[in-house]
Parts: sequence; C-alpha cells; structure tokens
Amino acid sequence: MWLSRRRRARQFEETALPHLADVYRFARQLADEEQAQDLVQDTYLRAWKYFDSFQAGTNCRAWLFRILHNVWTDRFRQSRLELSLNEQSETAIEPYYDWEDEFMREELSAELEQALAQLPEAYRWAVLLADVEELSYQEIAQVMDCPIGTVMSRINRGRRTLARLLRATEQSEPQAEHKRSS
Amino acid sequence: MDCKEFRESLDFYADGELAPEAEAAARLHLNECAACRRAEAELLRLRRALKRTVAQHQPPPELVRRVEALIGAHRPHRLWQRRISLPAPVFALLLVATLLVGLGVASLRRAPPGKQSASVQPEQKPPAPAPAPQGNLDLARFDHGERATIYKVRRTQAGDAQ
Repeated sequence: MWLSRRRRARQFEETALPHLADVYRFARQLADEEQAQDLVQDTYLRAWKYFDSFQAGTNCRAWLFRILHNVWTDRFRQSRLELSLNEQSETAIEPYYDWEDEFMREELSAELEQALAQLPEAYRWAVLLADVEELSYQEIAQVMDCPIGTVMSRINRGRRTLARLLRATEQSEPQAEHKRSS
Repeated sequence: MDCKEFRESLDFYADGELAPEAEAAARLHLNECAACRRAEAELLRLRRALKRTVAQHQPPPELVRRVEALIGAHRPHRLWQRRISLPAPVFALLLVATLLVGLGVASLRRAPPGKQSASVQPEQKPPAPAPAPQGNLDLARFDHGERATIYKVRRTQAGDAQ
C-alpha cells in the first residue's frame, strides 16, 4: 500500500508536473497573473487528488486542461452563463473567403494578446487548445465537455474573429499615424 | 476540390482532421491555387503568432515551488519520516498503561530490601554480618574486592542504631 503510494507520487511528478508551464501559460490567457497562479495551483491539487482516474498512456496534458477547464468554470461561473448564451449563435462553419490578403504581421504579439483578450472565452479556449496546445478535436471536445461539432464551429469562429480584430487594429493604426502626422 | 470546398474545410485541413482522401484532394487543390495557398499560409501564420504570444509567459519560480510543495505535503513520507497517528481512546489507554507500569516499577524499587528479599527468597537467611571494622577504615582493603562487605557492614550498623 505504502509502496504503491510512493509509486503514485513519483508517477505524478514524472507525468503531470512537466506540463506545469503549459498549464500556467494557458491560464495566463484566461486571467491575470495572480488568478492564473491560483488556477494552476487548484488544477494541480485536484489532479493529484484524482490522479488514480488518469489512464496511463493517454494524453496527460489534455487531462490537465480538462481539470483546468473545470476549475475555471467552478471559479468563474458567470463566464459559464455567458458561454451558454453565445452557444445559441454557433451554427455553421464560415468559409475563409478573405484570407488571401495578408493581415498578420510576424511582430503582432501585443496586438494579438489584446485581440485574444477580446475573444469570447469559449472561442479562446477552442483556438488556444487547437493552435497552441495542438490537441485533436476529440480531445478538445473532452476538455471543454461539448460535442465535436461545437468544437469545430468554435475554432472556426474564434480564428475568424481574431483575424477581424487584428485587421481592425491594423486599419486603425495607419489612421492614427496619419492623424498624428497631419 | 474547388476553392469553395477548400475554404470551407481549411480549418480541418490545417488541423489534420480531414479524412485521408479529402486531405489528398485538398493538397491537390493547393498545388493548383495560389489564392488558397495564401489563405492557408495566413492561417499558419496566425497559429505561429499565437504560439509566440502565449510562450511569452513563464511560470514564476515560487508557483513551481508551491505546487511541488503541495504535492510533497500530500505525498506519503518514507517509513522513518511518517507521523504515527492514533485514535484518542487508544492513545489514552496507552498513556494510562505506561503510567501504571511506571508506578509499578517505582513501587518495587521503593520496597525495603528485607521485605523484597523475603518475597523472593522467603527461606533464605540474611547473611551473617561481617565483622565490624575496628577503628578507622582500612582503605587498603578496597583493592581486594571487599567494598560490598564494607557497605553491608555500614548499613547493618545504621539499622542497629535505629
């Protein structure tokens, strides 16, 4: 019994702890620094508590993000309500008709972070899980506890909304420059 | 696959979620269509920028330490580091038992030597008193293993005086 508990602790250190930086970076896109630290701490506490339910050989990062999602929804229940209202407008995939003109500059980090912050949280979760964490749609559906169809539309809408916000930033910047110079 | 179909499935293509045949058709279309190649390149550029943006944040070292300590606090200690916890009644019983044993040992030690020896060896006669030393103690006798004799003699004398 004691030996198996020792093994469990070592397994947790080897499997779950290495993803702490990823979980923190993700949490930082959802909350400020202090709240992000709390989210990570609660996530790992819960992960340790329920580590027996983790199936060895499956994606531990996806499992941790699922816990983070639960911790986050428990903590910010108001956001959950906001999601369910947005959910009603999620229907079809919007095709990428206007993506051949370049709207992305490589050095757009600050603007992109600002745009991300404006993105509805359900879209932000889906886009970050797909683009940054590179989870499959199936894994994202498990993390966010929703059907795959919803994941698809959230990723699609999230990316398109981000692009629109960035385009708006790009267009407003030259105008501001023009006003300053005139 | 035409441009319309490709643009509708661009997410799935970029995310590797298309079925193998559909993916092959999309790749074929990309080879032929420069506009769709630019659309795909833009999506990939957005993805790279997102990764860069998110990667800016590093977990503070104190958070890492805190989480490690959190796990450490809940992790079982090695056998010699473990705390022994007992239910209160068991602990109280053990305490009372220890006290009783301690009192018993103390009372045995306090018992008079004669009484103690009588209980153990009732038929044994007390040893014949050694001849009382005449005059001052002869310290030279200490070297011949007679210290006990001197002690007994002195105890006997003290008993006689009472």
